[in-house]
This record gives sequence, C-alpha cells and structure tokens, in this order.
Amino acid sequence: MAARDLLKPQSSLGSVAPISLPGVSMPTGPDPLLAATANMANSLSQRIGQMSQTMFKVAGTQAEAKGAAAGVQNAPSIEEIKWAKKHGQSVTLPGDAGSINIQEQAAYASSLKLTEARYGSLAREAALGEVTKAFMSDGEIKPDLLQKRLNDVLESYTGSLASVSQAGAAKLDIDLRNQFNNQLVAYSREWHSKDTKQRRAKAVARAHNILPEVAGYVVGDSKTRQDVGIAEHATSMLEREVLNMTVEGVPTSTIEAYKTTFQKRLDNALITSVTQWSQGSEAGGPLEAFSKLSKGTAPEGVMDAFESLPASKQNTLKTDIWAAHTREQSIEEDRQKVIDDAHDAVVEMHTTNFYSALLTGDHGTMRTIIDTLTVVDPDTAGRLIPLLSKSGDAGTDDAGIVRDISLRIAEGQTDPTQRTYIKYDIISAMKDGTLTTGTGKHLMQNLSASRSHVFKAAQAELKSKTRYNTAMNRINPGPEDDAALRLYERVMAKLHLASADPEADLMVVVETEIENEQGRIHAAMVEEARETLASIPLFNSVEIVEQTTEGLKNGTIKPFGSVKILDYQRALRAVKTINKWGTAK
Amino acid sequence: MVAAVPYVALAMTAASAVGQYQAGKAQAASMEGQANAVDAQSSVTKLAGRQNALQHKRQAVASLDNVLRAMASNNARAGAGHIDADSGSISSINNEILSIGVRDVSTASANETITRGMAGYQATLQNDQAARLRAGAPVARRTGVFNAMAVMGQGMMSGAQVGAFGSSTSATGNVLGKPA
Repeated sequence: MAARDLLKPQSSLGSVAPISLPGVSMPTGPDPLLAATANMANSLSQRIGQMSQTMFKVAGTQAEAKGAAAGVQNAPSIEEIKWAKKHGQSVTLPGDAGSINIQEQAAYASSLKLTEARYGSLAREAALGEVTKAFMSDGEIKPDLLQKRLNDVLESYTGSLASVSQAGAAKLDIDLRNQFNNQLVAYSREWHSKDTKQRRAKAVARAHNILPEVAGYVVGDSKTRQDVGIAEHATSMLEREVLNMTVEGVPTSTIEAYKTTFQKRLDNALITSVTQWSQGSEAGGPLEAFSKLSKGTAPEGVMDAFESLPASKQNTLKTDIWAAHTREQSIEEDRQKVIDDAHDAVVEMHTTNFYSALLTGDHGTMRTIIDTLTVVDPDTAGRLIPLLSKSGDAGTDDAGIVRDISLRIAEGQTDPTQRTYIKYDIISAMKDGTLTTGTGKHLMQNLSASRSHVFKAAQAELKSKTRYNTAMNRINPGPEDDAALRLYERVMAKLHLASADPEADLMVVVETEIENEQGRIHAAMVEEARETLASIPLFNSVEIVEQTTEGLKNGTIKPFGSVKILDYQRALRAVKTINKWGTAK
Repeated sequence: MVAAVPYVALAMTAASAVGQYQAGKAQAASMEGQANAVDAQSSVTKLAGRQNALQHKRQAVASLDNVLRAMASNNARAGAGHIDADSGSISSINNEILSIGVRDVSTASANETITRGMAGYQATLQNDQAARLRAGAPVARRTGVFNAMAVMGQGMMSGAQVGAFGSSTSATGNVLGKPA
C-alpha cells in the first residue's frame, strides 16, 4: 500500500492517453461533377468532330467528282494535242495541282490522266502506222529503221507531254517503250525469219541455176576426145555454192542433196565424155578402150575425166564398155553361127546330092560336088573322094593331093605366082597318075573360077584400108567414120564394075580408087561442114569456135548451158572437119 | 442539300470547338478543386502526426512508470528484508532498471520526433501537389481554348478543301499559242 502511494504521482502521468484520431482521408481526386462535365464536353466535341469529318469527307468526295468531271470536260482535245505537237507548243490543263482545293486537284488530275491517255493513244496510233508500213513493205523496212521510227514517235510524244507533266511523260515513256519494244521484237522476228528464208531460197536457187551448166564443165574435143577433162572451176563452183548455202543457213540435208545432184551431173558428163571417147576411132574399139582405161594409157584428158569419177562409177563405166565389147562379140558370134548353120546346110545338101549321084553313077555330078565341098568343107570332100574312086570313075585320085590343091584354091591363093604353082601341081599330079584327068580338069576350072575369091580378097582389103568395120560398129560415129563409110561405098561400086573384067587386077583397083575417091569425099565433107557451121548462129565461123574453145580451156569463158553446148559441139565438129580436110575460110 | 454539306460540317466543327473549350474549362475547375482537397488533406496529415507523436510520448511515460514500479518494488522487498536499498545488489538492480527506463524514454522520444517530422514532410508534399494542381488549372483552361482553336482551324481547312468558302475549277484546258 505504501509502495502504491509512493508511486502515485508517477502513475498519474500516464493516465491520459492522446486521442486516437479516426482515419480522416480527404478526397484528393478530380471533382466528379467537373470530371464528368469535362468528359462530356470532350466526348461531345469528339463526336461532333467525327461527324463533321464525315461530312467533310462526303463533301470532299463530291468535290473530287465535280473536279474530275470538270477536268475531263475541259482537258485538251486530241485535235488540240495534235496541233500542239505539230507546232511545238505546250498544252495547259484545267484545275490546279498545287491547290488545297480537292476539286481543283481532281480537275487537274483527271485532265492530266486523260491527256496522258490521249498522248498514249496518239503515240500508239502513230507507232501502229509505222509497224503496219513495215509489215507492208515486204521486208524493205529493216528492223533497225523501224526501231528508229518508233523511237522518233516515242520521243516526239513523250517530249510534248513532258512540257505538261514530267512524271506523266516518264510513265508514258515506260509504257510505250515496252509496247513498242514488243512490236519491234515481233516484227524483227518475222523480218529475220523471212529474210533468212529468202536468203536460203536464193542460195538454193542460185546453186540449182548452175546445175544445167555442169555438163559444160567437162570440156574437150567432141570428135577426138583427146583433151577431155574437167574445167578447174567445176569443183570451185561446187565449193562456192556449198559455202554460200552454208553461210545462208541452208539445212545440211539440202546441201548434201545438192552436192549429190551436182556430183551426179558432173559424173554423168564425165561418163558421157569417156563413153564417147571409147566409141570413137581414137580408142580403137570398146575392148581397146577398156584396156587403155585399165592400164592408164588412154589420152591424158580422158584419164583425167575417168579418174575424176568415184571408184564405183569407174567400175560401172568399164563394165559398160566391156558390155559394148561383149555385144559386138555377140553379134559376131551370131553372124558366125548363121554362117556355120548355112555351111552345114550346104554341106548336108551336097552330101545328099553326092550320094544320089553315086547311086545313079553320075560321076560328073559327083566330081562337081566334091569340088564344091573341097571349097566349102574339105574334110567332107576328103571323105567322099574315095567313094568317087570306088564308084568306077576312071583312074584314081590321090585324096591328099586333091584336098591340098582344093584348099590352096579355096584359101584364095590369088597371087599369080601362086596360081602358077597350083597349075603346075595339078598338071604334075595328072602326069603322076595321082589325079584323074577329070579331077585335074575340075581343079583347073576351080582355079579359074577362084576369081570370086580375088573379089573377096579385094573387098577385105578395101574394108581394112577404109576401116569399114570400125566405122560401122561405132555407136556414135564421127566425121572420120562417115568419111570411111562413104569411101567404102564408092570404091565398092568401082570394084563391082572392075570385077566384070577377068583380066583386071582388083587389088590395084582398090588402091587406085581409094586414092582417087578419098580426096573427093573429104572435099564434099568440108563443104557440108561449112554449110553446117554457117547454120549455127552463135558459132558461125571457125575463128569464133576456136576462140570459144580456147576460152573454155583457159577459163575465161563460162561453161555453156545444155542447149548451147550442143550447138558448140556441132560447130566444133564442123571446124575439126574443115581444119582437117579443108582450108579455113 | 449537297451544297449545304460543307456548311453544316463547319457548324458542327464550331460546336466541337466549343466542346473542347468547355472541357478545358471544366478540367481547370476540377484541378483547382483537387488542389483545395489536397491542402485539406495536408492539414489532416499534420494533425495525425501530432497525435502519433503523443502516442510515443505516452509510451515514454509508461516506461518510466514501469521503472518506478520496479524500483519501488525492489526497495520494498529490500526494506522488508532489512536490506539497504541504496547499496549493494539492490542498488545495482535499481540502477539497471533505471538505465533501461532511460533508454526506453529516449527511444520513445526519438520516435515522437520522427513521427512528427514525417507527418510534416507528408503535409509539405501534399501542399506541393496542391500548388501544382492550382498551377495546372489555367493550363487546362488554355488547353481547352487551344483545342477549340485547333478544331476550328482543322474545320476551316477541311472547309477550304471542299470549297465551303467558294470554289470553281480555275482554268480550262487549252493549247498555248493556238489560234482561237
């Protein structure tokens, strides 16, 4: 208790506690009314602003439409643009691109767009005209010229538009450039395609134009064929044409076909030349020609022509020449067979008659038959002579002597000395008793009658001297062959006349008449050749033909076509005749 | 009707401008009101600080009271046991109790000072905010005026674009130098 008292003053100090204030919190945020007012005013303002913007937008659209219409209505017309371009003037556009006013801007924009379109339209129209002209020019207007013209069109229109709108001009430039470029590319492709086709066609046509002349490249004397050969430019012509066609892009197959045709024609001409040579007198007949070609001993020009041929054609040509020889041989064999058949028939007939005479004992007929058979078939005659002796004919003939003398008579022992020997032998045999009198008389008669053999010998001599057989057998006879045949016919006629005179020496007749007639025949042929030469318009003189020949050889004259070459060959043949047997006048 | 659209739009623009002006004005008034409220809140803050400081003071007194109680108890126990309370262990204990009490009083006193200072500082910040709100009010008012003027300007511009103040296509296309 005492302690409590002592503590009392201190205890009273903590008895009153400070007031505990309630949580007073003042509203420090915005005043709700004022905030609402501000929000309302702000919101209302924004709403109204949006409405006004919408209305302005509507009004803007209306202004734009109105301006666009005005711009289109008042834009420079096509005629005005043409006039301005022609006179180097500038056009002005309605509206104002720099104005704040939408209507002004729209008017300018629409008029500019329309003006650009009109410039573009006019430029395209002009370009179309140029392109159409180019297409109609049938290739005369080349792509580079069309390009220049299109560039002129482009620059003139874009340049004129640039005075109004640089941007529009640039855009028009790009648009037109692309379009013109496409047109130019299309034209260029077609032009080059046509040009290439034309150049190819020309190259092929040019190459084919010389084909008829190919035969003319093979030059030479048509008569002698001694200087047959290929003009040097034949190969160079082929190479030139092939090169030309290759450069012009002619397909390889066409070029190869042309080369084949060219070579075929050239080969044919060469074959013709060599064949004609082989048929000529210089060759000495097909067999000789075959041999010369095989051995390489034919004339140089002929060998050149022959060796210019491919191996296969060389073989074919030789085969043909050999076939000609075979044909000749075959004809000869046929002829021989006819002769043999006739001979057999004659022998059979005389043998039959002999046996008939043997049965009747007609010794005269039997001797006559033996005489005949001694000439025709000595072997048969030899077999029949013993039968004549056995048949009771007076005396006995030595069959060997009869046969020997008969053969000597039959073989044409026409020499006077030989004839004397034959007569001597007959008389000696009769004296020796190896020949009966009748047989001896018959042999003497046969000797006298052997004048026909003299005629045959003379005829054979005539054929040999005139080379009648060669001339007759030549498929393509030349002037010399003609001359040989004419000479043979003339002398043969004289020989017939002379044979009527028993004492006339027919061999002498042949020699004399050949000498006499040859000159006349040559003179006649020269006269004919001159007439022929005068009838050929382009080669009507010896000088012209000789100059032409020289020109063809040295290449100063181009080979002729097929028609002209025939005239030339006729003229050349006539000139050869004139130069050989006449006087060149 | 079509021709009136620009003018209606202009009138609405004017209304929108008025709205902007009113909004600014209301904003300004609101800010002034806010400033006053913040000032009032500052006074309350000061008062609350003082009240909190008194709480700490009371804690100091209570602490001393406890010291006295403890020392008195010790003295009483010492007296009952015939022990001199002013010497020896009793005295030491009392001294210790006293020193704890002094320390509590000091702490409570410091808390009182801090609480009072913080309240004052808070009140100062609130006063500053109020001043700022007051300064912002005229700005808000002027902003409203400017917004109104901007809206009107925009409206005038739009009006000019659509030809509300008179418009016609200024020129027709022609070719310079072309004879008429």
